[in-house]
Amino acid sequence: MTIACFTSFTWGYLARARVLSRTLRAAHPDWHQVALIVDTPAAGMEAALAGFDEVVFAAELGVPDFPAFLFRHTLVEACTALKPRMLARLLETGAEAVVYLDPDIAVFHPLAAVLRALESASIVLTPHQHAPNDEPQAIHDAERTAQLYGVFNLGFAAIRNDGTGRGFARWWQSRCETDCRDAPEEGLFTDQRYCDLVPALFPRVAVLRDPGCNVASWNLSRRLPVVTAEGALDVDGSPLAFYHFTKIGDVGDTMTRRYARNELPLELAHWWQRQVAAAAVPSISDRPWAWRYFADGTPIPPGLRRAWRTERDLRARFADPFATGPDSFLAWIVHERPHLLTAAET
Amino acid sequence: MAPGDRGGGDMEGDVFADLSRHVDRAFYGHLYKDIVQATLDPVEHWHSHGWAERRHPNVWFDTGFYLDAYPDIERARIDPLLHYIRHGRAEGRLPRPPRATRRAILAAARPAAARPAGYDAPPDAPILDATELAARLLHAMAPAALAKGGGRVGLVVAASHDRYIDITGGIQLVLADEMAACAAAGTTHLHLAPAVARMHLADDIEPACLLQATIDGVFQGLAPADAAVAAIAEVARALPQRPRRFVVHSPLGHRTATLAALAAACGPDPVFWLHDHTSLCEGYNLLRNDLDACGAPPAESMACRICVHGEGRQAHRARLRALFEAVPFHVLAPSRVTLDLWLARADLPFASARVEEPATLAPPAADVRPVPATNPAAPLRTAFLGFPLPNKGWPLFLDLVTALAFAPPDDHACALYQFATEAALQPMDLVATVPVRVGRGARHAAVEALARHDIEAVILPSPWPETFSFVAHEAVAAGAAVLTIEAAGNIAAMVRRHDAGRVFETGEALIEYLLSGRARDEIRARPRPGPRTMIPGQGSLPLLESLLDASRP
Repeated sequence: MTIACFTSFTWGYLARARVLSRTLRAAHPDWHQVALIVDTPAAGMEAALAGFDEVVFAAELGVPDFPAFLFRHTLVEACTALKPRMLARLLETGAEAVVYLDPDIAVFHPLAAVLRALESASIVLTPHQHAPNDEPQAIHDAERTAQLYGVFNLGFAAIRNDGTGRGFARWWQSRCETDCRDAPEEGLFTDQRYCDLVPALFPRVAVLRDPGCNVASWNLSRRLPVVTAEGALDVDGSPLAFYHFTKIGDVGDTMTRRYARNELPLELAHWWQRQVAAAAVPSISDRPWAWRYFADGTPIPPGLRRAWRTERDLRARFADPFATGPDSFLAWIVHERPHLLTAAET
Repeated sequence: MAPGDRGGGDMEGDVFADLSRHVDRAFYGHLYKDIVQATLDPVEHWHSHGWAERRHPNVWFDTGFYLDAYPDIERARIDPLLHYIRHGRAEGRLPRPPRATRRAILAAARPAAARPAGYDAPPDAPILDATELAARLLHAMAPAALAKGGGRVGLVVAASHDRYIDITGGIQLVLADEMAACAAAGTTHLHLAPAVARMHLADDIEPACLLQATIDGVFQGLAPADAAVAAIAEVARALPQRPRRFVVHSPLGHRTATLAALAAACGPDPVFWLHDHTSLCEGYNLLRNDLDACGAPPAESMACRICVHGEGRQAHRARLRALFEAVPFHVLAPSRVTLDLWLARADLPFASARVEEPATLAPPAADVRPVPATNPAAPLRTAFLGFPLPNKGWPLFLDLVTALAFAPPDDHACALYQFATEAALQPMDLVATVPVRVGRGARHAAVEALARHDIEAVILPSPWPETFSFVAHEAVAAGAAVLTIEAAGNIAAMVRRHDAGRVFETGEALIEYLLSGRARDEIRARPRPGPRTMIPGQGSLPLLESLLDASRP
């Protein structure tokens, strides 16, 4: 099966994406690796991106009213909102299946369970939780959180290039390009909550409950990674295919410490942080997201993005909201709603 | 404190009593010298200032963690230890982060190359050129030849990672025994250690470092590597009838090219010792991320990929392979388990491989030692012997201390001792500390000290496959039962071989055995073995002499 695998990231996540690329290459040297960079191109990055077979910048995806699209999204929202369009594009180029992996994933053993699932399924998703929890804290952290943020973790998806797969891609793209927000209180969490509907809306959906796929702090309460005598990594009888280092170095550390039942998840996190540090490209890894600022360098606070998203007449009046100068959106804001500029974007 | 004064200053009596059980005065005074200098009572200081300064009251309570994890306690501005022992423990609060010790070990894990180098050479050491070193060697060899009729081996050149005459440790003891055996046989012993002690192979492309040269146990000075090679060649020219032999006790810190050149200068039958697992991995304890025994899996395995020692392992192994291909070593293992592991995992060429125990135990002087008049319910006298390090199982001993801290003193099934060099002693109220230094002139110091304190059990829960363990032999020689774990390599093997204690699957099972009183009852129910003499080995000399004899017509 010819497989294209892509990830979506900004320059700030380049080091993580390079670790993903290197570890994926070791497990699947024949997969066509694509980097979707949701940022502006930068010179001299060829060597840093050499692990990928193809590099696509967000502006190349043909999103209508691209500046307006970007302005309605935060960094995370933009990176996720463009995943379906990239998926559709790769399906059009003829890959038999397309796999998406978040840039903070690392591959340890081949994704054999995914390939097996694709033999009979058109859409393969991994649930955040694959077994019930019984401790109150774990029920809250794992199950309640999944109810708010999505049953499936969309750090991974595998789509077969058939009618169902292409239909899913079109539906997902439509939803994400309409409303891809981090608003769990409204039943939205970027591209992820939509996929709760997938088993109901589409046939041949595989809910991949293999314990070695998408292991992360949020499912360690029910998964136990171990090292075998021959030095392989194993999770409850399955090879550890890929581990998702969600928010490691931040709140992910707390969750990992809380739920790890041995030191192996911490060893993996320790290793991954060393790899990311070694893969850093100093000239660009600290560069802020290109669309975090107006053209003159003024930061864009989230409240401003919200106003732009919700007020149709603003969108009609200003074609490029990033522009500055007379008659710009920024000039209008400074005059009409200066309070929206006071909160810095996070 | 005046006689009869229960102490406590302004504290209420019950507060002072509760805290006195858990503020470890010995620990506090050892850690905080300012308290000792100011002659402050540790309990009073802790309660009035210590906790607010986030000091540690004992080995098991992490003040900073408790205050950070439980903001209600921090806000209430109350003594967090007092809160824990009176309420927090029953509420299920934790006195320190879960699995704190192992997580700290992991956080500190570094590749060998990232560890700071030790500087061993005396700053005023003379620099020896080839002529000077050769002259000193020939001078040493001449009287030996005259007085003893000349050893069958004329010169042993031994390489290891540090200067053995100044350091206490297993490799150093074997070297000292080897040197002593050589002296007795009329063989001169030249020891070479890098001037800078490092726990990884030196890079062959960096300039050769100086070598510390010690002849017959006396430090001579620093010689450049090529001068050492040239000096041995000069000895060969001057005394062609006196065979020279080369022994690697540890390659760490050396350039492999230098070791190969020294081997070539010395002649046939080079020897390589497996005192640790350096020839399998740069992480010579075979602990993945310094935590768990890894068993030396294939270098390309995932276990190696995620290990701090895995990144350098392939290059390290390639250097060793080049050395072993250039030098046909006879491999000496201190134990069968070490040799079996090496044969299964090393995949290196060799001339021969065998076990040479660095020490043996003589049969007990008497079958049964009269049992001292001990109250059968008295706590089992239980010791930790050796360096208080994670790779010797020290954290498990601290877990034992912690468990005892919460048991009523009348119920303690064991009384704890620590035997170590003065500097390595870790004072705690529940542990009697005994300074002891084993060295060339005091080989039985530990055995004697254990016997003097009538130690009944020694716990040696090393988490890695120990290759020999002098301390385990010392414990058995002193008549103590050795309690260890499966992972401890030759310690577990020798306990089984000598029926000298018990081997547990896990450290937790070992602790339970002690705390429950089963250790006390079972160990005391058996006849106490009499003291045994530990007979030092002769290092490489027996093998070198037998190979030499075999090669002669």
